[in-house]
Amino acid sequence: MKKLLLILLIGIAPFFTVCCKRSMLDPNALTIVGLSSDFQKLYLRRIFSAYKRETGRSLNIIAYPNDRFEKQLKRLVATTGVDIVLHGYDSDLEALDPSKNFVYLTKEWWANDLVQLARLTVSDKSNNIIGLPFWENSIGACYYNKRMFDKFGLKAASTPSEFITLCETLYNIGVTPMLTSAATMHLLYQPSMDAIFYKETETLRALNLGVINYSEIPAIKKVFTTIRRFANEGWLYQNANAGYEKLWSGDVAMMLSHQTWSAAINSDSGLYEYCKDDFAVMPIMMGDEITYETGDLKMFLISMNTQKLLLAKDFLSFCATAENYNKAFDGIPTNKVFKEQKTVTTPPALVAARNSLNQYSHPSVASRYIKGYSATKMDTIILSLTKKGITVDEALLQMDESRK
Amino acid sequence: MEADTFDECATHVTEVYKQVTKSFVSIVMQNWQALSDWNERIALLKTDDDIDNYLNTRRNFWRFSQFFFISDDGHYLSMDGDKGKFSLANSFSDDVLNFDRNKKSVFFEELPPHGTLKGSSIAVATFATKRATYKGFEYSAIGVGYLNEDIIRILSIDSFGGAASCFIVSSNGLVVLSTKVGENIFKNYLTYLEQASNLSSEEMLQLKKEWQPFTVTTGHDINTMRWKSKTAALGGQGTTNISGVGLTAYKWGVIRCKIGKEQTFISYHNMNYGGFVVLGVVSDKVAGSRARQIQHSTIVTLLKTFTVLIIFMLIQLHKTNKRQRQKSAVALKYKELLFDILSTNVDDIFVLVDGATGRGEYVSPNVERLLGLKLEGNSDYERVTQILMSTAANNLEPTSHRDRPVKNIYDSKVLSNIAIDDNYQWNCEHTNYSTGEKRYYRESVYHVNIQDTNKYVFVLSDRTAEREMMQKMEAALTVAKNANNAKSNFLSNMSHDIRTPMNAITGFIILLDKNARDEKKVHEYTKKITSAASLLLELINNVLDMSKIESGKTQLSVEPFEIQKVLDDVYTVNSEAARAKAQFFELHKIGNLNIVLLGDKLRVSQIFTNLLSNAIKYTPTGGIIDFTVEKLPQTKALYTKLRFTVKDNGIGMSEDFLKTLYEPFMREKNKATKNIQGTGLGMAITKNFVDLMGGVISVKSKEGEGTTFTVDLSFPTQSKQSDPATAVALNAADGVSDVSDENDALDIKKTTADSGESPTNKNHNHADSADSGSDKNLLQNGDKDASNSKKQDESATDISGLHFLIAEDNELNAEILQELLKMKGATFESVSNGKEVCDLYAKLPQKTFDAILMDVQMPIMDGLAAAKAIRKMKKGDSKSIPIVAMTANAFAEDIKNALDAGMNAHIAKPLDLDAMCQILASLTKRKRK
Repeated sequence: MKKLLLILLIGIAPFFTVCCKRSMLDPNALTIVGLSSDFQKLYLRRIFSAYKRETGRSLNIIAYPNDRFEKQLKRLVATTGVDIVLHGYDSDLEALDPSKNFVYLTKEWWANDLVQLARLTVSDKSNNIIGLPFWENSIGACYYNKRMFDKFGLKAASTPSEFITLCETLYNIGVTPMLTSAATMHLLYQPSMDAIFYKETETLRALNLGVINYSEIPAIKKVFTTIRRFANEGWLYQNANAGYEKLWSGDVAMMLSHQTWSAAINSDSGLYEYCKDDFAVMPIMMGDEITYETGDLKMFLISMNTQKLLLAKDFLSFCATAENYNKAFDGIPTNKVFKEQKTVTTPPALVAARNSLNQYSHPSVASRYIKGYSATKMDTIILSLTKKGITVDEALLQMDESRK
Repeated sequence: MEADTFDECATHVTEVYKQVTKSFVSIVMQNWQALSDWNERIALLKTDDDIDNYLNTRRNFWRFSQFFFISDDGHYLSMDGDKGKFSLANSFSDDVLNFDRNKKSVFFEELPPHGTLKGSSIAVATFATKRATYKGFEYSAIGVGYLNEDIIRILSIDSFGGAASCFIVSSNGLVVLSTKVGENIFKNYLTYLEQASNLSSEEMLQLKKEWQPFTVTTGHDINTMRWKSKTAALGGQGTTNISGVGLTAYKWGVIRCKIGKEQTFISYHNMNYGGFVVLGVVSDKVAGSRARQIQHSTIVTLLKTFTVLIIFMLIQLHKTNKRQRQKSAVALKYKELLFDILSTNVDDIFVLVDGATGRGEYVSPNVERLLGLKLEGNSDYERVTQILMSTAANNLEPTSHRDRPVKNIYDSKVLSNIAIDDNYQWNCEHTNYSTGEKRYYRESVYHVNIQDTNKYVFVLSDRTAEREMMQKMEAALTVAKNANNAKSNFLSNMSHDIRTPMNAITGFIILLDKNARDEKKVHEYTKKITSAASLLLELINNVLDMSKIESGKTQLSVEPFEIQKVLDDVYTVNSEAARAKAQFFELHKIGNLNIVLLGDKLRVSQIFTNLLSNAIKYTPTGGIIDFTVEKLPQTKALYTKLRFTVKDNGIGMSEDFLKTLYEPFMREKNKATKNIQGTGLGMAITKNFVDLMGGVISVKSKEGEGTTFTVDLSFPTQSKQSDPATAVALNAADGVSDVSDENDALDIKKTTADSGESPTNKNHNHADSADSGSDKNLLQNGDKDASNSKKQDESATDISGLHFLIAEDNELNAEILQELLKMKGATFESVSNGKEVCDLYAKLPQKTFDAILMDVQMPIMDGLAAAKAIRKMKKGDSKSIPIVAMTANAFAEDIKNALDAGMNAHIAKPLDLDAMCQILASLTKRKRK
């Protein structure tokens, strides 16, 4: 009986939590819901403070743990209590049917201030802007230890075949070519998938209609074959704890990473041979594609059921004002989201590779447009593949299964 | 790796990259030469447009990527208008920008991302010029640029199966060109080797030195276990393959070291110009395998050659065998086909039986045709074999062979006793299962050994036809023997039967001659001579009849005849002989016989005459002879069936003799027949005549008790008043020739018969006439007045006073006839052929002759022709004058021919005087009346 009572209490606890929080919320204020980790971002905290300060209005910020947010999201947007959702396409937003649950913002004044890649990232399939991006525009790239390369007389690869040769050469001279962690696992496959489906829209439609499956797309199979080869050849150093010591020490030469994490490459302590300035970027070349992945921008989405639409749009306008976002992103290492964004700090590596970035960057298409796509499930499958637990064909089969 | 292997690998790697070096140098040299030429041409062109046009033609021809006008400070203006500045980071000459006249250079550049080539990596060859201006740009050199990938394509390095790397590096190790796709990851190869290889610091220093510019005199050769290098002046020995490119010295070397985990060959080729080095990197595994491949390739080539030769020989052998097999197969096929055709069509059945199991393994297909046994398939051999065996076993007709008795050849014990290559043969009769026909086979079994297996080959040879032929031949032989015997018998009989009367005749003639004065004896002897002559004549007539019968020439002369008259005539003719033996001879007629039948009257008469004469002959004096004729019930319309019975109580015949009764010349010889004359042909003739008429003759006889002959004959019936047309129609239907209405000869016989109405027989009573109330006529020989009879006889033969015309070509016969006529008181005129007859007859007045006696066979004109001629004459009596044929042609046909020729009667030779006189008297008497 006690156990039953305990289970019951645990089950209704979230409900009481929301109700309790609601009870303390300002009913005239906008209610913004999102992941608790996201709300920790400096630029978000800055903009919320600025808004409150500048407008004198308050905001009801409701933060959810990661494991519950997606489950509650559908119910939340169905209520009138939630005005704005902070979310992004990296999760299964498509399943929420944005066209029905969120207000289109294509005609807002700030739409033209978005850089092209940012605009693509916050648009649905019909190119309707569904949210205001307010996130660092990280670049998924292959960070390599340039100083180490110079030391060995090597240079960055410019083609997939050179990339493979590079890995072979590094491995041959005793350096593990690639470091991967749970947080960057998706960069092994997702940027390449983005590039494939960005160009092959017909293939994407066929895949979503169930006419074909992953194993019938040669370019996709090549990506996963390459991943499996990395595992087979010993070219991967897998670090579940996202520790970068091996990178700094020079045991590992490269890492697929967003700039967000590259910021973490900070070994200026002198404990290690290499520091962040030693790293440069080259495109990700897992498979036949040469690509950089633009980041999945989190955005403010206005719920279709909000009773404070004007107030919500006013909030977004506040955020989209150049003065405000420049203050919010001041010093944040990111690529531009807004054209007038001038206070961000772009890493030298990205600056050096700007021509390549312009040539090979692709928006994150796979996670947004592949029906039933789940990054979490994909990561699980890829983990099995890199651990050599499954074959390429089995991985592809599981990927198809995961979309059902 | 051993020293030899190292040397081999090093040599091979060096040779490969020498070729690469030569290719690269050739490209550079050709472009330098081209730039020199173009420079001269450009200097002559007046406008920039002319220069543009000219350079475009050159680009189309040389397919370079860009053409540069270069200033002293490294700035450039391309023919496409691109501007920039060369970094000259990858230059092979430190003084590349100090363009003196004819100064040449090569360097590699990465172009900026803008412009026509957009950041491409290119190789640029430059050539110093006079200072000049192009589109306002002052330049002191010109250069032509190629994309690196074009250089790589031109070099076409694909040695070691693509597993090797090739670089063009500067003397300080900077990699300016990687000729392998996917290899462009090295920035500085010396640095790479320094970090990644196991080369020592000293070795690295030496290597760097090796890549530096040098002179032939300062060049230092290296020759260690893992490093070899050589410096030579171009054009010298061993460097001819890269001579002619305008270079002065050439250093090349190869070093083996470990890079990372892998042993590697590094081949370097320092051209001593601008500081560029062609570098080849081949893993030990690849180079070794290549060296081993070369080693092995020789062995493999030899092996392949040997193998090919072996294979070729094997193929030839195989082909030869195959051809042989094919030939054998074809031959075998032909043999099988031939065997199939033979076994199907010949009348020999082949059966193959396994000696161990006794099972049939093969049966030739003709078994179906010959024995009606169907072969349902190969598996059916055993069944058919068993049937054949069982049939043969039941019908075995053993024939001794090799003195061994054969009981049942199919008995396995019997088979096992047959030695290999020996055989048994026997005869056997099989019945065709399909037709039921019995076939006679000669069967053989051969014991053969085929590959240590005992086999028995049975051959069933159909000898049915052969056997039938043999039987026929045996029968024919028997017939021939019989015929020969018959001939011998005939000759013997004839000799005997002719000699017997001839003996009597000659004997009595002698006696007659001696007793000529004794009238009684003369008369007695004459009578006996006449009897013997009669017998001889009878014999001749019978022989002739028999001869005609046996030759198949006997034909029935069908004509209407009154049976009753024939019977009476027969009775009359035979009653005399019966009367002479005092026999009681009766003719019984049962039923109305007053009918006219169609048939051969003469043959019918002859049948009964023969039967009756025999009855009389073989019945002792005083015996009884009954001749009964009865009309049997009619069984066929328009036919009358009669039964004739001749019964006597004579000596009878034995049973044995009865079996040969109808055979010619067969006479029973015993005491009773010892003194009875006969030819032995009578019954044979009688039987043949009966058969010819479709009748049946049967006999019952017992020795000492008598004999009864029964003859059943059927005749077409013709009423007495029936019109001749009916008779003709009937005869025609029977295929018989025409019928004569008038026949004087019949009348004569009838008359003759009439003359015998008064038979004498002292032992019997007789009645003068037949019982009027009964169908039964009874003619009885009895006592009549002999003198009266004699008178009547004399009257009937009286020809005295008559005058005859006789025609006879044979003088002797003519004389006899003449004497006989004289003896009878007649007169005559005699001629020797038919023409003379005609002539004489025509010459003399009518009624000069009472009759004409005409021989038939005569020269000039035969009797028949003469008769016809006379009948055709228009003389008064030419149609009525009696013409009598007198001829030795005594057959029925001859008689008929004579009558047909218009003659009135036929008298056969030898002449029977009485008969002749009777006929002549009859003919002339009637006329006289």
